[in-house]
Amino acid sequence: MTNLNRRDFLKALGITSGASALSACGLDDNRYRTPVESILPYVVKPDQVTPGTPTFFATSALQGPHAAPVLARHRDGRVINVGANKRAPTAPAVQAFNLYELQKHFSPDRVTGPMKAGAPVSWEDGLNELSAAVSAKGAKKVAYLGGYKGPALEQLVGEFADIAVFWEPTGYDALVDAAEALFGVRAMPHYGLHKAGYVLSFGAPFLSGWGDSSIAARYAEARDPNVGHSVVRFGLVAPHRDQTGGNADDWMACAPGSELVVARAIAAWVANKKGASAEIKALIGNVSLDEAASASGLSKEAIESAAANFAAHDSIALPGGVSGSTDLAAATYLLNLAGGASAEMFHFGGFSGRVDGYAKLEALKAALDAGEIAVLLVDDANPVYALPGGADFGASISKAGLVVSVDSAPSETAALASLVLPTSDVFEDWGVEQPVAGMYLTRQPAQSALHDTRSLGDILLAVGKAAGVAAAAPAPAAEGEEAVEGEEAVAAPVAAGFSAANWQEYVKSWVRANLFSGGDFSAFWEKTVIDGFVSAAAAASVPGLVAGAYAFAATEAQGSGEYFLHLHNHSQRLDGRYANQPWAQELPDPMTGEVWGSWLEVSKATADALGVGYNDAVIVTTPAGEFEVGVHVLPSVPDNVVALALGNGHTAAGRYANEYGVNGAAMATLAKDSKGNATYGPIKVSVKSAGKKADLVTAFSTFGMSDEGRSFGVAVNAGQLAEHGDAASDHPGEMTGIHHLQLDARLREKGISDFYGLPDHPNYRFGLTVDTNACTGCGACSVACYAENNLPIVGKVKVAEGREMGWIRINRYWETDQGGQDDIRFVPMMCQHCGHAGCENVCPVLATYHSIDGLNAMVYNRCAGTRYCSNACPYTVRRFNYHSYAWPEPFNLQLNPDVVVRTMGVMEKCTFCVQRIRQVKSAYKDGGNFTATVPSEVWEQVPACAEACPSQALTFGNLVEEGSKVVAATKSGRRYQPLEELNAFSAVTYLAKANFHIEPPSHGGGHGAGHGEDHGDAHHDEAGHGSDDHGEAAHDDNHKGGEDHPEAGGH
Amino acid sequence: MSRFTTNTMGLATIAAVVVLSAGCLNEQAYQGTEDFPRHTNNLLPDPIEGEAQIGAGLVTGEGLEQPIAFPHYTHVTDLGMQCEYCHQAARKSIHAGVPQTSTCMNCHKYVKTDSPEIQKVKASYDSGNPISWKKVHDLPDYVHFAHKRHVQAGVDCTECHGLMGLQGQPTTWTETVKEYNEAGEVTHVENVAKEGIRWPVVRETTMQMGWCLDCHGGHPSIDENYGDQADLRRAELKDCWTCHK
Repeated sequence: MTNLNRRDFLKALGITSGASALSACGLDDNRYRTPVESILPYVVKPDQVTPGTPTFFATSALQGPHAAPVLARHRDGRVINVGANKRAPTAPAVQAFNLYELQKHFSPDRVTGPMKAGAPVSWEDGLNELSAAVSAKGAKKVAYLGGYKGPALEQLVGEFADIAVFWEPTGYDALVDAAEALFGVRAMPHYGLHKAGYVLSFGAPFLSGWGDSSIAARYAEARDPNVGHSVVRFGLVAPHRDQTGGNADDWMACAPGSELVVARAIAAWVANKKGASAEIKALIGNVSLDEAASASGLSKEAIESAAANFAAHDSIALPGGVSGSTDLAAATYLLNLAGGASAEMFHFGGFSGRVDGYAKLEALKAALDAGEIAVLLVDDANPVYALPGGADFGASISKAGLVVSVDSAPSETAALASLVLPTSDVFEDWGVEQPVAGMYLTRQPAQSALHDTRSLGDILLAVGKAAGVAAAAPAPAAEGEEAVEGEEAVAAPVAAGFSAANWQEYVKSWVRANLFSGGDFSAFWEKTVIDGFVSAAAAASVPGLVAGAYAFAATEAQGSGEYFLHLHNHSQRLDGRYANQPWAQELPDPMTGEVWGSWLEVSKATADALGVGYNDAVIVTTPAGEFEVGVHVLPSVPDNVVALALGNGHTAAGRYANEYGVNGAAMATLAKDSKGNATYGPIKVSVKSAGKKADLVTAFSTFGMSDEGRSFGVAVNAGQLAEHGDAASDHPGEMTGIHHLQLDARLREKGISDFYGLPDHPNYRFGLTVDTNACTGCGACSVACYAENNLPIVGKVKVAEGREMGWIRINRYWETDQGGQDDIRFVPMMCQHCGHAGCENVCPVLATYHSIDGLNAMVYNRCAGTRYCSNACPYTVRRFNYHSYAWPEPFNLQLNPDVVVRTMGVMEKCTFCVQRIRQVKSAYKDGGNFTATVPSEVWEQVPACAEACPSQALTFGNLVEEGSKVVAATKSGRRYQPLEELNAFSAVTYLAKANFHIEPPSHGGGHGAGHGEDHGDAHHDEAGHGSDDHGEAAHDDNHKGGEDHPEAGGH
Repeated sequence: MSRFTTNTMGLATIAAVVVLSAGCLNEQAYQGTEDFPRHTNNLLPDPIEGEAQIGAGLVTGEGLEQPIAFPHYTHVTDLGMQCEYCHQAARKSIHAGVPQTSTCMNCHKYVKTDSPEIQKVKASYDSGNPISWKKVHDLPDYVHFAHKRHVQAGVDCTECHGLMGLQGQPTTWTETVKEYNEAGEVTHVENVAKEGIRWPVVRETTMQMGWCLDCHGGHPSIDENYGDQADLRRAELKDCWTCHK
């Protein structure tokens, strides 16, 4: 028996039970056999495809001002993921929204083919009906209502429709109108935040999907203490802290609607201080700080300090969000001019396409009401849901002769259409986008159409031809094969009318006419499609004022009641456009942790006054009616404000959106600012307790506010951080002021640092650096992890039971500094891949173990589901499959074939994307060098989370390689590891957040100055030092602790 | 084994359940798409090596009927074609790649065009419908095997696939044909003598984990490729995450 090892034993066991299986069922019982699978090879294989290896298509998944250069990862016939297009000048830009587009693409709620009155119809019949209606329009008009999808489609729609509305409900129209009034340009401003020393926002959610896709990256650059030795300070003047506002260093909670007067007062103060021109001063007007203080409820000192900060730095002011106004945008523009912002920091090189606001929508509504519209095409715009008073708009839509939805996703507006001609989505279609000046992105199909859909361009071309819309237009030949390449005239054929053979040719000829500057067009086109972008240097200049005067007027408050209702875009679902994406529903709200629904944020004082607490339902009475919602008590609003996120409470937008939460937009009446743009400006409401519980579910397991001194979320003095940056410190972590029992002192006195030696890592120990100073809490890492690692969606009931499956959670710690300012720290928490992992020792079946690469491996096949490991993990990052979760078709097509789908009874957790690690190693071996160690710079963006992070807060690398970024981070003066005193020797290094309100530690050895007092002595006593000169001795120990640190040493 | 009876009730029903019975847990709503697969409990003795095979689709030495009786023997042994002429991706992808129909047609546009089997290939080529081969070398979905790593390291195809060049030769065998009545009872058993290509492809090795580890511990290519790092590589090759992830 001594020679019987484990595997022999299992073999013997197997044969025994095999015999019983035989006797019971017989060999030919097919139930006991793996089902036979088929192999379907290509008939003729495309050249660029190799089965089993991914192909990348450079494209743009997002649209209009949000468009970002991305790579669609295509594998065996379908797109499985979206990554950053690193060739593009504005990368990285993989926000969570790109991934929501992917989930939208595979949504089981998509319309799979043309429908008429709810019944399937053929494409021919559908197009014939549309053509007939268009050609029979007579004196009536054809109207188009949709989201902006690039200049080429704008041109085609413009030719097709008499009225075209490209609706964007995020309040961008206010920005553009203000720019036109002051500067005479119709474009959105481009904010060069990376050059800023101070950012003053009046509520714009610029870290939550607002503005162009790389604005968060530019903010992160300004925040990086290693760039220019400065850390940008972020002041927020707004009545509510959303995810973006959570990043603010100074929050000035003003009364809703008073942002305008505060902005003007600061602008006037700064203009005086900086000696701005009389022209600017005249435009701003004379608003005193006292006036602003009394209107906003802020102290005069607070406003003056913000103004002083603004004047003292290279500063940028940002406008308001959906509750802002045209005048507020204009005031911030003037503030930027008064502060002397450079052209690079502030110019109108932002999005210059169409972002039609309410004025255009109102004109369309008037035309509909007058019965002038023969045909209305609705595409990717949902005013019936997202417009205050949307039901009215829906009634107007029904007055059109024929309402055609060309959106394949269901929506409240599309539901009114009698004819549905579903279009291919962004992963199946061609297109061109221009998110900022000088930057064009091309969109190409990354897979063939999933359903029986057609491109919108093809539909318009076909109908335009059939209905003779373009009969009068001269139609030069579209670019085709007959063109002789070489010395072509620069005046290339311009796409016009409906002569193009198809939408792809149309896009091609648009590119030729607008982006091509001569030479070989075929080569240019090929390069453009492969790169996914065309960029030309856009000259930035300080905008010149054209306005002589500007009449500022506050938006009038609607309704009555004792509270203000502040409506804001949800940080994931935005205005509701991503509500049917389960990732966006299950990802916790960064500030509250709420999932799958709506909540009302109230302050503690408000909750007490109402007699309610967390999850108590309240009834909110607004000018438009009343709604019932659960309360989440959070110091994110002042006492006279309650806040509600938009984007929930759908009725016809799909199975994951419908009936979750309440629709805030429907609860407001349409308010217009002084320039006629719609705003969710100040709304007065009354709130009363409903006397019952609501159904809120929060995914924050800690539920608390602070980390209670456990050093999960740590901050360091911003000035000290800016001075030293992340330069290697003699005492890593000294800036944090945390005294850790890094190694047990008594053991070290005996020369034994630890009972067990650290595992041996000959070539690699993979590690991650999490820069909490760069992290904005946006959640892109978490969504990317869901997409890459086949994480299931569990739904609201299961999240309530604590069974969510996210491998990365973003802990939000809400600390109050010595200065009384709240500091919100976002700390992404994933498996720490400990050197001494608690989980590994307790697994009875060796399903989790430490790999030779330093990874804490988890083998699903071995896991017997005891959950001991989860119990032993101090970071609670392990997730257990209580069920076999399902992926409703066609969600299953998005599953990553490199990662197994786990079933019921199996533990799982972050793997550092081991499948990608192995792919990188494998790619190196493909070159023939089997023994090369892959250099660290290759690893930096390998895991899905690090690739997706818009602010590059996550850096991956090899801790064994000296000189890698992850090793440098372990030597930083602001490094820390949560629960480091447990001696887990984790592979994840955290870098502390900059804070402008705390003092630096009083001396360098790492004592508790970060918490205010030098209580180092108490620590030493706890550590068991009996000698009288303990202070000095412990100090030395601490220094040694730094030098002995496992990751710093290398192995 | 079966835990629940309903199937195909997935996320689709979560919304409904949450709305209808929030707080009232309905376990069946979270059921996966199928019962726990019984074949994973299979422990059949191997007729050749006598080793237990867990979850095997095929017993070693067996093959499957294929849509086309493709003779490897003719192509490899008679004509001397290289494996990678057809299995083009073996060196550059995780899959070796079953040849596209057009690869067959490179020759069979002209060669043996009157054969009924070639007619089937031509039908695929003309219609654009792929040939649906049955998977003989089928690893479970929780095993991530990469052909390219093995081929590039210098592992010969035959080490895992056996002498494919001898497969697909015409042979004779006896097949047991059973007749059933409506109740599913066997009414008649007959042994029929058959002739031709029975199994175009036969699995010649167990392809079980123990068999993999035989080489992962000590294949000669490890020393050749890794030199003084060979010991490290051997350890690395026994890491569970090499194949299971």
